This record gives sequence, structure tokens and C-alpha cells, in this order.
Amino acid sequence: MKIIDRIFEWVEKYATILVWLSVIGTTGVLVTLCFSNAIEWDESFTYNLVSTNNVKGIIEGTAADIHPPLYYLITKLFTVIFGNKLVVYKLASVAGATAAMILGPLIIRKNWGTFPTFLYVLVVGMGPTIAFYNVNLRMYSWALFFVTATALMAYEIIQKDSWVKWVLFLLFSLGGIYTFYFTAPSYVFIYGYLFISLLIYNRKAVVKLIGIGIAAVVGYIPWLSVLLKQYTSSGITEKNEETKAELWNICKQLFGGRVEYGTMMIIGLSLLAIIILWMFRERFETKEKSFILMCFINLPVTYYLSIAIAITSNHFYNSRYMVHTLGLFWVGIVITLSRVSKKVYLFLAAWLSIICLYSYKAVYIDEYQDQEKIVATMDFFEKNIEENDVIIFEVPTFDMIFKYYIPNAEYFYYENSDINYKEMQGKTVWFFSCWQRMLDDAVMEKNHIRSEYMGRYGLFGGAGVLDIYKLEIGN
Amino acid sequence: MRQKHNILKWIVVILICLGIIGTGFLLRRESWSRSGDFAYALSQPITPDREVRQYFTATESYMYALCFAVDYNENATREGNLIFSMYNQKGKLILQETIPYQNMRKSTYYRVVANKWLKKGAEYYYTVTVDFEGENNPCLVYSADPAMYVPENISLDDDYSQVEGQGLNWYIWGMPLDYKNLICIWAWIAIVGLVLLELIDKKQVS
Repeated sequence: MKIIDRIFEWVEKYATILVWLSVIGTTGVLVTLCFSNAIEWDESFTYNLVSTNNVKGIIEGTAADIHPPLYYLITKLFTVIFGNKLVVYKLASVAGATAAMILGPLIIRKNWGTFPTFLYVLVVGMGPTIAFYNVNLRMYSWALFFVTATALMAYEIIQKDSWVKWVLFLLFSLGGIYTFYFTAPSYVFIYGYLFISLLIYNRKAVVKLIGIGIAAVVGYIPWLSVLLKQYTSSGITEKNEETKAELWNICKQLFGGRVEYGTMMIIGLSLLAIIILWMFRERFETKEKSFILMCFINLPVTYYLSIAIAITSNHFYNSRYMVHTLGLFWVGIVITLSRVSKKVYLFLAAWLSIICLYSYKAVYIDEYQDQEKIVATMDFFEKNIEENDVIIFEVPTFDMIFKYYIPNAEYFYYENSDINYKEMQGKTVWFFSCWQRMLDDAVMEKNHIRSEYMGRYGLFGGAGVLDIYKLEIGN
Repeated sequence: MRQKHNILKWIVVILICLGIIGTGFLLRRESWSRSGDFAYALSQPITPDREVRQYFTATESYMYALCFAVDYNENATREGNLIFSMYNQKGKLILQETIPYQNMRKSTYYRVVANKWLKKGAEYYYTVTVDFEGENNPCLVYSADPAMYVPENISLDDDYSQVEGQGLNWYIWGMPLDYKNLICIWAWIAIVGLVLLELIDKKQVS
């Protein structure tokens, strides 16, 4: 036991350096996931929106889609500074993760000590599902940062409020809701938690919260009309199976990863944490207990409110819409279990390290396993396809993916009745088939089209198989 | 009182040890192998007197499920039941499921939940028969191309004579966990156990 005590003492002695090193190290590990050319549909949407538009165009483009603009603007800023390369887009997402990690040394350590901070940094960097979205060209890493930061700031305000904290609380709230709509249910819950806590501990500050709430609404007014339009018109018209997804299935997708029984272990630890909170209640302040409970309850509350939003807005629902709640969920686990004993902490650290290692490995495989195939495909594109060539594709909206690799081609969906094959005469025309479909024989015959099979290539995700044909359109 | 706490602590320690040993033997991860997607053929219609029998090797010691497929005339009515039975090499019945014909989908895998410990490497067989005579009896779907065979399958009999082909199957096995996964689970058991020990200590002090 003396050795363990001495190690803990040594770590505590150099804690400041070590926690910042853990942030840098975890960020560095995430950066190793950023060098592939793999890009799936949603990511290609981000790439096309950001790369082909200025700030005004991005705002208009995302207003026409179903997301708020902040993430795209952050990414644009990155591309303006570091250049329009795929790796820069991935780093923009990693930056969201790093921002979330920085909350560790700045807030978690101050309130709960050095040791939970290490685990927090590790898990918001490389936890199951989190690691994947930390390098994904979407808004989820930033949404996780904003929601976690808002909740931690709420806790800070409950401890001792100041104007700086209120302003940060407001900015983080606005940041989250301008990044991802499905953070709203979490905010409703966090604001509710803060309101009740202030009623109990600091009644005078309730007025400030109301003022901040009004400021948040005012701050959102510029986007409110867009939100209302998107709410009523976006998404799909039929409720699909995903909308009816059950909480357990959502948990399996969020926590499952590649570790067998991972979901059960993680849910089990959260239940154990709640038991600890009750059985070792004298070790926690009342304010801490309510905060930790909030961390855990946030996930199911957000889930049920999000489902309500998805159903009423006819939008589909997906487990990734819960990723922003994971930061707080893990905060709850690491600060509660670290409080029991040093031995429990060490086993928790070992367990979490393995979980995160698996998570990293899964993302690494996902990012790089198709690299050779993608490079070969890109090589084919570079050698054979020229600017202004025509590409006909047979999976709806897959031009979004192809545009990342061949931005200047002219794209047509093969069942589009407006296709004028005569106008294509004299041009080089390609047919891209991901689902092994080809132009209808009647269309081929009518337009005197002959096809030459160029081979099977592949990109990423849905475009993993890509049969390429060269079409010759006769008179 | 102190003795009671000590007994409780020993119970927790024993439970931790049992958990650690038990997980190594009992916990499994899912792994599957399935037939290829092309070159289908159909057996003769299955009747109460005419069964199809597929021999296979258990490549793992735990079977979660086994899937097979039948074909039929979609436009004709379907009544009665299919009877799926699985036997060991000695002919001892180890699994049977009566499946309402209505529940089958044409040329689509039907999943028979097994959850059985088998002898790894041993030979088993399953039979599919029906309990009705009719106009629209089902035919077992099988692969006629060796490239499409699932590795577990050994031979297929249609009415006791061997067919040039193997059943269209999907075997879902329980594989042992790898050592990293086991360490992860053991660490988890240790966390739970240590929390319990801490709790007992706390009660003892108070």
C-alpha cells in the first residue's frame, strides 16, 4: 500500500504538469486518426458546404438544411487559417474534443481533484463513440464541449456565482444551441437544475438566471425564424424505426463499442455510482450529490425529450444525437468512483484505459482499413477523369460523396428524367455504380449508349463498392 | 459483529474470485458464418414422410442460433407447421422448434434460437420436416456452388439421399473472449467487489 500512496503523492506533486500533459497526449492520439481520405455522406456534406461557400453562403446553406451554423463557421475558420484540406476539417472536430478536455484541468480538477481529471480527459478524448465523433466532420464534439461546459459552469455558479461565470454560462449555452439543436433538451434540464439549486442555495441569484435565460432567448432570435421553418419542414414525413428506438438500444450504440458486455459494464457502473452516492453520502456535499445525479439523469431526460422533438418535427432519430450528453455522464462516473478508495480508482483507471484503447482501435480501423482502396480509386480519378466530365450516379445524393474527390464534374442522378444524353455527346461520360445497378437497357438503346467497364473501385461507407463504367453516347 | 463483517468480506472475496474464473469460461462473444449469396437451389417439397437433413460440424462450443431458409409458392395458402430438430452424432435430440408455416418468409433466413453448449469439432445434424400434407409444401433452400458453402456444413440429404450442395445456413456461435476483453471485465468485477468491501469496512467502523 505504501507504494500506491507514494505514487499518488508523486502524481499530486506534479499534478499541474501531468494533467496538461494528459490533455496534450490525448489530443495527440486523436490527431493520429486524422490522416485518412475516408469520408462518408454526412462528412461530405460538411466538406462541400464549407469548402464551396463563404460565411454568408454557409449560413444560407445550413439554414436550407437542418442544422444551426456555428460548427460550420468554426470549421470555416480552421480552413481559412490552415488551408482547405480534409485533415484540417478533422482537426476542427478534434479541437472540439480538446476544448472539452481542457475543462478537466480548469474545472474538474478545481472541484474534484487531480485523479478524476485524468480519467475525464481520457474518456472525453477516446471514450466509446466519443472517439469516433471527435474526428468526424460533424458538430458532435463541439456540442459535447458546449453542453459539458454549460453544466460545469452551472455547478460553479451554484458554488459561488460571479458575473464572469454567468457570462460564460450564457455563451456556452448559446454556443451549444447554435451548434446542434438536439442539445436543447439537455439545456432545458441544466437550466431546470440550476433554477432549483439556486432556489435552495442562493435565492437572490434566481433573478440573474431569469435574466440570463432572457438573454439566451434574445441571443437566439436571429436564428429563431430559421429554426421554426426547419422544425416544421425538415426531415422525413414518415416515422421510421429509428424514431422509435428504445433507450437500451441507444445505450448499446453509445457504449457498446468493441468491448463485449461494454454496455452492461458502463450502465452497471453508473448504477454503482448512484449506490455509492447513497451509501457513502457523507463523503459528498449536498451540492455535489445533486450535480452528479444531474449528470446521470441528463442522458435519459435528453433522450425522451429528443424523441418528442424528433416525432413532432418528423425528423428521424439516431443515437449520435445523444453524444453531447456523454461528457456529463462520464463526469458523474469518474468523480463518484474516484471518491471511494485509491484501489477502486486504480482498477477504474485500468478498466477505462482498456475501454478507451478498444475505442481508439475501432476508430483507427474505421478510418484506415479502406485507405489502400481509396487511394487506388483516387489514383484512377486523377489519371482518367478530367474537369467538366459528366458523372452519372445510381444512388440518390451520392454525388455529395463524389464531389469531395471530383469537385468540378457535372453530376446527374440516373433516374432523373431531365437527363439529356444528346447534350452529353462529345463529353466524357462516366457511370458510377455503388449498388450494382446500370442504366436501363431501353435508355441505353434509345440514346445509343455503349458502356465499357473500367473496374471495381471503392471509397468509404455506402460508396465502399464502386463499379466504374465509361459511357460512349452515339448520335 | 466484527466476525459477521469478516464473513461478509470473505463472501465478497469469494464472489470476486468466482466472477473472475466464471467469466473466463462462461462469457462469449458472437461470431457467425453464413452461406454465400448466389447459386441457390431447392430441395424437393418437404412432406411428413420426406425430411431434409443437413450434417454440420460444431466449430465452437456454444451455439447462439442457427438460421435456415425455405422457399414456397407465395400465392398459395400456407397452413400447418415446420418442425426443426437438431441431433448429436448419436442421434440424440438436443433441440426442437415447431415453427408455424405462416411465420416463414420466402427464401429468407429463419433464426432458430439454440443457446446450447455443443462439443467443439463434433458432428451434428438438423432436420426440417412438416406436420401437414398440402399443395404448397416448403422446399429447403441450398447452395449448389461450393464457393457459396458455409464451412460448417458437411453434407445435405434430401429424403435420405445425398444432394450435390449444402444447406443455406447462417451459424451464430459464441466464441471465447480475448484476453484484453477478459482483463477489462475482471477489472470491472474488481471495482464492484472493492466498492462492496469498502462498504462493509465502513459499516464495521460505524
